[in-house]
Amino acid sequence: MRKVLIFMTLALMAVAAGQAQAVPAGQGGLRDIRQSVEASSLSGEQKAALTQAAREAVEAGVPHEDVAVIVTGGLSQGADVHALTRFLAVARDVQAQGLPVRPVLNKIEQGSAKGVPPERIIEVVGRVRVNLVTARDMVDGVVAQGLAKNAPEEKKGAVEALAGALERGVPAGDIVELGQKAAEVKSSLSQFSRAVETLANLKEMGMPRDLALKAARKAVILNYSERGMARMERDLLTMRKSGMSWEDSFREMGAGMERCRGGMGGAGSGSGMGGGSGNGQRMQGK
Amino acid sequence: MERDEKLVQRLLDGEFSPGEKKDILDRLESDPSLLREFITLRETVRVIEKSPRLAPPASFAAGVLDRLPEGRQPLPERFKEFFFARRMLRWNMAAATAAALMLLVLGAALFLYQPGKGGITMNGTTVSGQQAVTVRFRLYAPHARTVALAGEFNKWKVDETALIRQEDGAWVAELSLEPGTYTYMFVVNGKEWVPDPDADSYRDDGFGYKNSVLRVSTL
Repeated sequence: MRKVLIFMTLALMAVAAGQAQAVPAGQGGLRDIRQSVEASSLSGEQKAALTQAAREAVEAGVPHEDVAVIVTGGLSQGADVHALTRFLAVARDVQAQGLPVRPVLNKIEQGSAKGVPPERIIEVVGRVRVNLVTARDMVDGVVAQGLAKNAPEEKKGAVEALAGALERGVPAGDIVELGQKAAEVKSSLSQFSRAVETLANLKEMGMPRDLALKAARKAVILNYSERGMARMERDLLTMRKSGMSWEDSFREMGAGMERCRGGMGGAGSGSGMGGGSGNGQRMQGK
Repeated sequence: MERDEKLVQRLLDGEFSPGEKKDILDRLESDPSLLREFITLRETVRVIEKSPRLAPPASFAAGVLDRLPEGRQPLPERFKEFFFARRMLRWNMAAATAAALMLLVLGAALFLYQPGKGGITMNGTTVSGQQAVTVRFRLYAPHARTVALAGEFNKWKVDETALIRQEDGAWVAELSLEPGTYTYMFVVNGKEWVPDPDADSYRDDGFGYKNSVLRVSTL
């Protein structure tokens, strides 16, 4: 018995040591940031302000890798310290509000890399933040209507998906309508957020708004999985590329969906070529 | 003397032939001290035989064995014995409670160790459990000096993913990406942001550029 308890204690200590090993990574990242700031030609006061802003962001939970990219990337491009501290403050505040911070970080990093003036970046980030808050209210609404939420991270993922859809021009009313349908058929939150993403993707591909909404709604009603929705998007695009109109593509897809009702989905008449789109060609799955 | 003691013991144990018995009895008659010793021993045996038998507890054998000093086995044998030998564990409430609490803490620690993505985050990098797909990026730019790839997958860093020039003037790079949707652009000569002319769709970045959109799946 004593030996078993000793063994379990050692196992527990090993797990604790493993977690402790992960903790200093944030501190290590902060050290790198501090070194970059110290090596710059900023004044002492500016260095202190930037280091403080970086520390606050990391302590709030913003990934230190992203803080490092913002600080070191900004310094190498000669960005204004005031602008950098504002970027970090926005990211810190979004994180502290419990909103997904990734969309905000993406905009800051992208804007900085593209040489966009800081004021413009702040303006765009402000819009992203508004979309995130709106999306969170929408998600709370559908959860209140009965959508199943299986894990805390599911809600964050849904907020990010809905905010992304709003940014891509999907009308809020369409998202609400899809949410109502999802609640009716008792979908999960992750299925609903994937359907919203599908709606945004179809719109982005050029599908007319009403058809895109019908396609997404049908996928929700037929309880399509994430994989099924991805396949549906791919098949619709393939049919469109082969010369079919969106209306014909949708009709063909709809017939296929009915035939495969309740299955894993995406079994429309499109052959589907699969893989990444754009110039990226899928080579192989590893 | 020692021989006499042995004779007495044999007499008490009944281990003698008829001839020997006469000799032993003659010896007892001729030696009063020996006779006294015989009588004392005989009474002792009778008392022991009449006393009640007590049954030892079930754990008596285990307790005795537990107290015995263990011989030093080689390490592999000890290891094997520790993990695979059959055991009977004796519990008390304190030990059971401590073990249960430890299991609870271990389970909670392992559960909380999960990052959002079904992997383990250690030292600031994510080791993903998702299947990765190799994606090839290509841009035909025969007059370019350098071409880089910047996008969500590398935090828009323009100096991280350089494309390699091919003989036909195209520039190529391969990345291993998890399934998902990514926006990206090519960066020519370190400053010119160029969308992928062969992308399936494009997305306004809010800064006046059109990002190329890549959808990676394992379908």
